[in-house]
Order: sequence, then structure tokens, then C-alpha cells
Amino acid sequence: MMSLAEGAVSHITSEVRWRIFKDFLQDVGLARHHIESFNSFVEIGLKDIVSSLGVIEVPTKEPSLKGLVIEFVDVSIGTPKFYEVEGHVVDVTPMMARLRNLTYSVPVSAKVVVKKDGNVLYEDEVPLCSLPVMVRSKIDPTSRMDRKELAEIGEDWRDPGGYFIVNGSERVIVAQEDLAPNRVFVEKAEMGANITHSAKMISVSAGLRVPTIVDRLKDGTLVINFPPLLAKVPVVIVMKALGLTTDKEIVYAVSHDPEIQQELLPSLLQVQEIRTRDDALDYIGARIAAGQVAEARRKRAEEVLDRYLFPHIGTDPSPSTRLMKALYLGQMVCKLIELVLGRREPDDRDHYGNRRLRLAGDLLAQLFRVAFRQYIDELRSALERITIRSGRINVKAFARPDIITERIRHALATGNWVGGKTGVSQMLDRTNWISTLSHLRRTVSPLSRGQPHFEARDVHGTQFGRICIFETPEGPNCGLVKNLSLYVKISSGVNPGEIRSVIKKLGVIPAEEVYEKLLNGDPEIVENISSYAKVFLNGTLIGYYVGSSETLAKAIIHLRRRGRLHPEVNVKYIKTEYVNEVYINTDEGRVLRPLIVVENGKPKLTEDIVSDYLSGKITFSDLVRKGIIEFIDPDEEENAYIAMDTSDLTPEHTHLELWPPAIVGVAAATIPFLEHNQSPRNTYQAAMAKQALGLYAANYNLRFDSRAHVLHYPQKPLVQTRFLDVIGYNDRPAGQNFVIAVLSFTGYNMEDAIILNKSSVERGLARSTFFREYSTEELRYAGGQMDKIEIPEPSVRGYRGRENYALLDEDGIVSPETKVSSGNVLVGKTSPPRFMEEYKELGIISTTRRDTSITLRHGDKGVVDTVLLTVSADGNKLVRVKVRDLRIPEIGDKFASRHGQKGVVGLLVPQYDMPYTPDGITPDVIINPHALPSRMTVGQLIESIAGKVGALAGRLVDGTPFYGEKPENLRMELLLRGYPSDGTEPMYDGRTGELLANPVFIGVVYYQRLHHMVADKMHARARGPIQLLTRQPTEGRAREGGLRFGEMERDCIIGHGAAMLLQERMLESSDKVVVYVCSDCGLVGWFDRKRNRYVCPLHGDKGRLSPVKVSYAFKLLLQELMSMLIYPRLILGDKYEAIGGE
Amino acid sequence: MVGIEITEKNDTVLALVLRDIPLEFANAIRRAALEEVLTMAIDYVVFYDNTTALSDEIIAHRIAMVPLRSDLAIDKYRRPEECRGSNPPEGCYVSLYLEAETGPQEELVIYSKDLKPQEDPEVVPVYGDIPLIKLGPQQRVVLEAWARLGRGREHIKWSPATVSVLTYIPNVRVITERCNLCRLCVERCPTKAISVVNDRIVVDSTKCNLCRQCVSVCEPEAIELDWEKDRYRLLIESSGSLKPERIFLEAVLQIKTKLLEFQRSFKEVFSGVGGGS
Repeated sequence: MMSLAEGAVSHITSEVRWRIFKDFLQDVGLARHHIESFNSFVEIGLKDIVSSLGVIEVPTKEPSLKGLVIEFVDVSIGTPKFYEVEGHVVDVTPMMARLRNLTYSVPVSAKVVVKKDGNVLYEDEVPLCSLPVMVRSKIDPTSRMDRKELAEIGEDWRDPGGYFIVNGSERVIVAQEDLAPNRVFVEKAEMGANITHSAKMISVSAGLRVPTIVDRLKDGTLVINFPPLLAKVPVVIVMKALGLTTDKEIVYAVSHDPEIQQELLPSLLQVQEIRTRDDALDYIGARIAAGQVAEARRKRAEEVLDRYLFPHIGTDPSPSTRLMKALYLGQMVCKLIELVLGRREPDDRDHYGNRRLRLAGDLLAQLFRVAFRQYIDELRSALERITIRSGRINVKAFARPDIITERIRHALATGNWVGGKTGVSQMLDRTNWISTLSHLRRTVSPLSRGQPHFEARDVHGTQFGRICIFETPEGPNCGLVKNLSLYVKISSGVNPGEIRSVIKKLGVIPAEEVYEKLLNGDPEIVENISSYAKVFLNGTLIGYYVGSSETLAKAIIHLRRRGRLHPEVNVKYIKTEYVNEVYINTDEGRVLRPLIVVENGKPKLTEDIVSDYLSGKITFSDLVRKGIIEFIDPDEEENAYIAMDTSDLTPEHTHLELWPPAIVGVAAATIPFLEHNQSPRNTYQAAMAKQALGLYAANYNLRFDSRAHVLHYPQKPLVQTRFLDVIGYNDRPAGQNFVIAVLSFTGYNMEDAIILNKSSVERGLARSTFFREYSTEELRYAGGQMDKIEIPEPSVRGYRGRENYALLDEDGIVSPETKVSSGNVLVGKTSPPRFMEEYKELGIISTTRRDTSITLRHGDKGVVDTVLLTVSADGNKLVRVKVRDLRIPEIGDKFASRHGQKGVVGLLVPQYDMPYTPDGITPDVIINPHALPSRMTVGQLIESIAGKVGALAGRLVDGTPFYGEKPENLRMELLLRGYPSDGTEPMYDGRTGELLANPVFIGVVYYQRLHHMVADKMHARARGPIQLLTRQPTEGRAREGGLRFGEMERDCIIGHGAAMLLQERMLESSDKVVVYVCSDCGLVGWFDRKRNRYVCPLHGDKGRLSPVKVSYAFKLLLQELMSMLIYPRLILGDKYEAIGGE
Repeated sequence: MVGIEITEKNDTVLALVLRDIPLEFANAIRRAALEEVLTMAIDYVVFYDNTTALSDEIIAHRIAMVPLRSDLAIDKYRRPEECRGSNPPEGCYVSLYLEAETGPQEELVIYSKDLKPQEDPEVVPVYGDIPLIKLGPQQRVVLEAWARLGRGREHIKWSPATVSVLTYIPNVRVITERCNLCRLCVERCPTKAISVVNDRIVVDSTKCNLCRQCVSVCEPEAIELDWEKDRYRLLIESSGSLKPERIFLEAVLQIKTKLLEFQRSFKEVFSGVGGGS
């Protein structure tokens, strides 16, 4: 049997699986989830919001305008434009937006129709907003450009897009992880509370989120709560208020099962006195609109139920919607009671099937909805005020598109979203290629960092293939910030209407029909309902299926595989002794992954299909359409049995893993032979890959990033993983292949230090350039005043001294290729005085302008690389200066291999002192052998051998996890090429020429230079600036600060009894001050220079004042106490008397 | 008496066997070849124009790496000790010139041969086909590069040798009585120095590089490794700026000069202390 299976799958080689996966990855792209989400917002979401909210009944009293209705019917989107201050409109490119600090956005306008009594009077085009464009989305023209065209407008053709450009800075909307909406989760309550079990759900509809909870109390009664309600309300009352007046109706809405119905008894008994629907509404009304008349109370209660109870079902006040809501509530109660009776287990909230990712499109829709409401409100109130003679309203004149524009722009620029979420949009990380991609594929959980939430942080089995198991930060965000696996595709949502009709044909009876028949005692239903399967669509019960849940689920899957249903539709079934349910998911934000379909133990990927695929006759999307590969969400995966490899296949299997190594994310995809490492090491590398220097974008010379590093000679790794080509790492690498020896050489590589070959460094090893941007704008102020970019006159306030302006040209700006160092002015600028009074004082407009020049940061040096003169969005002159600095590796610079092995340079040894092999190879790096045993980064050792083979053979070696070249083969190849198979070589000490006592492990390993460099951190100070308030030295390198002598250091000095040293540190070298203290009142006095006397604040010049040496901060404390009406007294005593004593 | 035997010699490689020479002395020659021998290399670059994608620093570094013909220059130009300071005397520096420009649709690669000697045609790049800069459309670079003599100790660009290796001459002994003919050593030897002839392990010591694979794999400990006393192999590979034998000679010469200098200063000290005896 085994041989038969193997014969059937021999055509599915790992190469074939890789080819298919590679096509999927290239087809979908690495930021495509953002782009798809944004596209769907622009194409569908935007129109829906505008047409559903954009209805205005003109509220004017003008009789001619009575009964006019303005309706927003359609939306049209332009191309990226910018409105110059002078008035003309220009087309913008992304690079233009980046350089001029503009927002890359398109004008959006709506078609409105003005109707009277349902008849269209006329149409108009009204501007809605200027919508920021997601780079490379459908509405971005660059998405349709080829490489050459992109190069012409200064774009990197490899750039994945998926971000926005707001005020010139690139912003990503990070995917927000959220609990799946509209689904009921049951759980056991904590011990001790009055609650035994509860069912929770979040109803989400059109931007409204209503968390709703049904609790079962200790006495067996059930209560419900949702936001507008101030207190818990018995479920039965809500049911009655929804129109289910009899107990029978209520009971059948929950279940037909007598045992479950039994559990409702306490709840029914509790509210016996409330009989009618009005009674129930009264009860609820009393809790939300207390103190109003009964009629108003009932009306309010109805309104609350219609609008805030399960709004996802509907918000209209029709009886049928109310019945649906009652049935939904009944299902919620039913699920809860099933948990109570032990018929089902509590739901697992961390199951990835219960999580949704909210992407850019979704979040923008939420934002746009709020902004559009405000826009409509403003429009309505503007129309209220109009008095027009003619009957025609010029809607355009009253629309204020800046409301929406500003709202969206502000949210994107700050990351503060509606609903109080912060950090939603972030500045795109451009450290290197990997960091950019990883940032675009990041997800954030809204759970607070403060609390432990151990379960939420743990890896969940259902995250397999969806979330990278390695790439997560250490520390407070561990497990909350995650990164998508390469496998992933995010569902963008299918209209559930499609599936409804399909299901009906499969024999699903609608839930309302079943309920009605149950009430009427239809014998057919009453008899058989216990064998029916409940069918849920996106969490809501929509009907019953006559038969097993499994049969229905398989039928739906079958239809999907035949192309009759959208590939994003997923089905899960549960069949236990008590539970018989089908769950159909069509909503957006589910994390799907592709798998090869297996039927009867045979993959549907047959030999013919493989050959068609390899010859290019069919594509990846054809495979999906034909149901050979399908996308599975975590719910459906619960019913799947997935074979990891073709050799594992049995007839029970339903799927075959497409490409198992793809369970990792972009950062971990850089690690070769990852499966040989201890797992935390891979996590460390995933973090460090984002700090490596390389080629972060091919257009770096055109860009003006606030800080950027570029490696001079980046190399593609000799030891590859197959992903590197696809994710573009080989085109924009971040590292070099180093020859490394594992050797305890001089001792200068102890404790993770590394020894670098000085001659290699001189030949250009790991050299990089650091770029920093300085910019300033010529601002205009109220009153016609404005900044001026010029060489400041010596008379301006804050003049920095002639020599610091020496590098400026006549226009007040440095010219390119000028050498600059700390304190040099790059752009000379003067601003008008801060306060008007300053110059009014003398009655004439004085010339006391302030110097607001831009100077090179403290501790920096370099050469001016580029100077850009342009005009900002506000029409002001904008000067941007890019300064470059050559960074040659030096002692203290940080390096890391791809296996979480980091270290700083401890010594640079010239080639002639370095150990050498008989071939004359001197290593570039010597690492210490102690770095290896405890960390168990065996992957690095294998990489070393593989790299050596690659260098000798002149080829790239494949180190893809699980599918890479076998280490045994590599060792054999090494031997055949004349080197010992264990990777060692005899070495001689370059200083003496002696043979080293033992052969040395030497090979080629890809090393990354990390952006932590001594040049940026080195700092010392003897004298320097002090703080104004405390007169203590400033803090931090950027402010030329002192090094803190902290309390532990102080304790140490006290311990030694070195009082003089202590005083020197705390007073003399800090904030010593001599104050004059009155020995009568104990207050600090002062010296009156006019009278040449010391004065006490209480006793005047009668006081007896003595000089006392204190810390200025102490003097400040005394004064702060005094400001709080506390009288601090200093009791003076004689220094020497005190010592003499007695 | 020191004996020298040439085992390989061509334009770039020189392999010698040194006999009756102490390790310290042999290694001094090896090191001197890397760090002491004088060569020409570009040390100072003046940019008149550079609109290429590469910054001045990168271009300067790239041209500095280009080996220059130094065989005649060594004796012609002043030594680095005499050229210090901001105002070096005549005879220190020699300049090369580079100018290139591209049209609107043109792309161009600049090679080392485009570095044109200004005053001394003998100081030129050894290899003309080293790519230096790639120009895109409408880019221009004009520069003047100044070369001077220097030593590898100061910067590796002045080192005439890319490889300078001193190795032992192995002496492998198989103790036949202990050998069980398992042949593991034959399998493991990367240089194929070990073979089996007439059921005996035979070692070709000239192929051995003392990697000790055979020793570690030999369970009965039947292989003993040793090396010859005061006999070494020296391998010098030239970057092209000097012929390898010249490098060797210059290295020896530099050591000699240093020793003479040492002798002179020693004499000075001695005469100063002893009062002229």
C-alpha cells in the first residue's frame, strides 16, 4: 500500500512544491494584504459608506426648498494631485511627495442628486476629500508602471508599496489583531464571582462595536448587558421586549431540547410579573431613560434594542428583524446552557480562528465613516442657514472637503485612530530591506503590555503557518507583536448573500421557518429536529440542515473546489454527541494559507497538472480555481488532516502541506539551516536582521531619510535560503560573506567580542556610509513677519560666532562636498522675535531677530552630500541638507552572524599578524569558541562549512530549512576539494610563524554589520552645559551631558568614607552654590549690592547671615516648599564646635 | 649556511624551500614581504567633479586599491619617512589623471586603464581592466590621484604581496607494527597524501599539509606527525606591483637595512656610554 501511494506522488517533488509556492508568493507579493484591503475599501467600502450615510433632507424653512432631498450616489476618484498655494494643480509622484513633504493623495468627489418627492431635479459633483493613496495600490499610477518608468520617477521597482506618504513621511497602517466579531464565545467565570458562566460577543456593524454579554448567575437566572444599558437586564425581559411574549416562544427560541429548556425555568420564574411587550419595554426604559414619561421610556427602550442590540443583524424596527435578534439571543443562551450542562467545552479565545486582522482598508473605512458623518452634519447645518431665492442649491458651495481630508491626514500622521487607539500608523522602518518588509507584515494585539496575558502571548497551535514562530520582540511586547508567515493570505471578505442562496439549494431550512414550525408543532420538525445540524453564517444561525453537519460541510467544500463558491469561503463542522453544527465563514481579516488538496490519499495535483504547470500552461490561480490548491482558515483546518510531506500521505489525509519552510516570516527566512539552531537564537536573529546595514532601497541617493545607513559592498549570501530571491534580499542584501575562524587568539575576542582583520577593513570590508538629513522651512508668521534663510548678522540674538557661519554660501546654505563638524551651521536662518512686545518696547521695529540656524548635531561630522531647495506644501521655501559620513569598522562596532551570534569588535589585527592557513588565507573575523557550546547555534557551523564549499566551488549553497543541502554531502564535497571534511584547517600564527597546536575551524559565514556604532555613542565630558533650573549638568550625549554619579556610586563612596570625594562629586563638580542663611529665622537671604549688606527676608539687614555651601537643587527645594506655604528653617551651627562636642 | 631552492616561479608566484634557517628569521622575511616592502599606491585624490552615484570617499578608496607598477619607482621616489607633513618635498608624489563623461543615453564603465599617468609613464596601473566606476547617463567625473611610496604596515594598499605564507615541511611516519590497515586515514586525507601500496600505508610527505585528520582518525595511533627542523616552504604571491622575487629580495633588504640601522644606533649608544672604546 505504501509503494502504491508513493508511486502516485513521485511527481510532487520538493522542487515542484517550491515552484508553486514561489509563484504564489510572487503573485500575492509581500505587502499585497495591505494593497488588497485598500483596493477593496476604495472600490466597495467607500461607495457603501457614502451612499448609506449620504442622505440629507434639506432642513431649511425656505418654502421653495421644502421637501428637497440631497443624496450622495456615486464616488469618483482622481489621480494623485497636489494643489499648489499659487492655485495651480500638479500631478505628484511618490518621490515628489517624499521630497517636498507633501501628502500623496487623490481628490475624491461624489455625485449628488437633488430630489424632490422622489423625482430627480438635478445632479451635481461635490468634492469629498483628498484621500491619501496607498503606494502601489490600484488608484496609484505607479502600480501600472514598468521598471523603467518607475526608475524615471525615482522609484525603486522592488518597493513593495502598502504604505502611505503623509506630509512626506512614509506611514504604515499596522494590522490590528482583534477578536472575531459577531461570534459567541462561552466561558466559565472565575470562582467566587456571582456569575457561573458567561457568553460574550462583539456585534460589529458599520463602524459600531457593541460588546454584549449574557451571564448565568449563581441562582440559575440569565442576564444580558450591552453598552447603553446601565445595568444587567434579565434575558427573558429582552426577549419579551423583542416581541416573544409567551414562555413557549421564548423557550423555543433557545432550544427544542427539554433538558436545555429546563435550565430556563429560574429565568422565567424570576420575571413572572412582566407579561406583555410593553411591560418589558417599560422595565428596560426605566433603566435607560428613568424619569421620563412612560411613553417616551418605551420608545427609548425600543430604539436602544433596535440600534444597539446585535446591530449586525439589522437596525430597522421591523418585527422580522426583532425576531432574528431574539433568535440570535436564544442561540447565545443555548450555547451558554450547553456549556453549563457540560455538552461543550469553553471557547478558546486564542484560537487563531477566533481572531481577525484589521488591515488598512478596514481601519480607513472606520475613520472615513466618522469623518463623513461629520461632513454630512456640517453640510446639513450649512444648508439650514441658507436663504436662497432661486430653487437651485449649489451643493458644492456648502461642502467642506477639508473636514474629511484633515481627519484622515491627522490620523495617519499621528497614528491616533478613532476609538482612542494609538500607534495604528507608524513610520515605515527603512533600516534595510528586511526591516521594511517585516514592518509591512507586522500585526499588533491590542492587549495591554502591562498585564501578563500569558495565554495570549503563547504560540497557539493554530498559528502554524500563519504567524512566524520566531519573529517576535523580547520583553514587554513578546507575543503581542507578531509577524505574518510567508504562507499567509488575508481574506478580504465575500458577500454572504452568495452563500445564502447556495445553501438553500443544499437543503438548509431557514431558522425562522424552523422556529415557526416548532411553535406550531409541525410533527415533521418536532420529530426530527434533534438530528438536524445548525448552520451558522459568520456566527449567526441561519438555518438547519437535515442531516449530519459533516455532509453539509463537505458539500460546501465540494462546491468551492468546483469553482461554484468563492475560494475565500471556509467551512467548519462540529459533530459530537450533543453538538451538530456547521460554521461558514466569509468575513474579512481571516488568516488563510494555501494547501494542496488530497482526496482518498492522493493529491489532486496529478502528474498531468504538474507537467502543465511546469510548462506554463496553467498558473497558480488556475490551481486555485480547479480546487487543486485551496485556502484554509484556522477554523476549517480543525477538520483537516494535513500531511507534512508526500511520504506521510495516508487515505485519511485531506491536505498536503504546500511548502513547510514557509511557516517562517520574512526576517526568519534569512536564516540558513535554521532547523539546526536552538530556537531562541532564531528569534534573536529575526530581531537583528532588522538592524543590519545594507542597501535599504535602490533609490537611496534620491531619498531624504532622516537617518540612513548604506553598506558599500553588500553581497548576496553564499549560503542561501530559497526565499531570499523571492523576497528580494539578493537584490538588496544587508551583509557580506566573511571568512571566519573559531579561535581563541589574543584574548581580545573574549565575551562575544570579535577580532577583525585590519587589512580586510582597509580593503573595504563592512564599510558603510551614514546619511543624516537636516531641514528647515522659511515659515510665515501672523503680521507679515517671516523667517529668512541668510547668513545672520552678528547683531541677531543667539549669534553663534563668525567661524560657525564660515561654511555658508551667499544664500545662507552650505554647498555640497563641504566638510562639516559639530556646531557648524548648515543653513543660516533668522526668525522674527518670539513676542511682539520685544520690539514694541522701543517704539521702533527693532532688528532683534533670533538666530534659528540649523547646525550639525553635537558629536556628528561628515561631508555635505546633497542640498535640496524646494517649496513645501504651504508654499514656503524648504531647504533639506543631507550630510554623509564614512563609517569604517572600528573597535566597538557591532556585528552579527545570521544565527543570533552578535558581538562587538575587540581588536583589529593586521594581515601579517593574523593566523594563516597553508593556502595563505587569513580570516576576516576570529570569533571565540566559547560562543558556541551553550548557545547551540549548530546552524552557524553548518553555514560555515557550506559557505566554504560555496566559495571553493563558486556556487551558491542552498540552506533552506528542512529542504537545504545535506550537511553530510557538503562535508564530502569539501573533502573532494582537498580540505578536511570537518571544516578545520591547520593554521600558523602570523606573529611567530609557528604551527598552531590544533587545527582551526575556518569557513565562510555571512555577517551583518548592525547599526550600533561607537561613533554614534562615544561620549565624555569635563566641563559643559548645565540645566537652567537646577544648575546640574545636562543629561545625554546629544546635549553634551555629564555622566550620572548615581545613588549606588554614592553609596560606594560613603562606604569607603571618602567624604571629600563625595563632596567633590555632588557639589563642586555639580551644582554647588553659596547661600546666606539667617541664623535667627533659618531662611535664605541675599546680598544687596547697593547697600553692600546681606539682607534677610524677615529681619531685613538686622538679620545675622552666614554663608552656607549647599546644592542649588536644595535651594530650589526650599523655595518650592515655601511656595506651598511650608516654612523650611535651616538651623545653623558652628562647624568646629560641632566636631569638638560636649 | 642558508640554502634556497626554487620550487615554483612565474610572474606572480614564487615558491621557495628555505634550508638551515631559523623560524624567527624565515617568518621575519614572510612578514617583511607584507609590511615592509615599499610600493607605489594612490594616497591622495583631488576631485574636480563627481556627479556619479558613488561618493568621493568610495571612488578614492577604489582607486587606492589599484596596484601600480613599482619596480622602478622604488628607487626613484622618496621614502615615506621623508614625505611626512603637509608640505612634502619634491620627489614624493606622482599624479595620475582621470576624466570621463557620459551623454544623455550613454552608460560607461571606467577601468583602471583610464587612470592616465601625468608625469611618470612608469607609474601606471598593473592591470588595466579593473572596473572602477560605472557612469549612468549624463554623469561626469574628473579627478587627480596622487601616488607615493609606502609600506603595507601603514595601509594594506602598499603591500606588494597578497599571499605570503611560511609553512613547515612535514615528516609523516607510519608505525607499521601498530597499523591495522583500516584505511580510514586514506579516506580522510584531503590532500591524498596517504595511499596503500602492497598492503602498507605509504605517505607522500610533500603532499601533506599537517591537517592532522589522519592522526585523529587513527585508533591504534600508528601515525606520527613531525616536521623538519629549520626547513620551511615560503610562498609569495604578488599583487603585480612588484615581481615576486623582487618582493623577496626587497623584504630581505628591508630587514638588512633595519638591522644596519639598529647596529648604528647601538654603536652610538655604546660609544656614548663607554667613552669611545
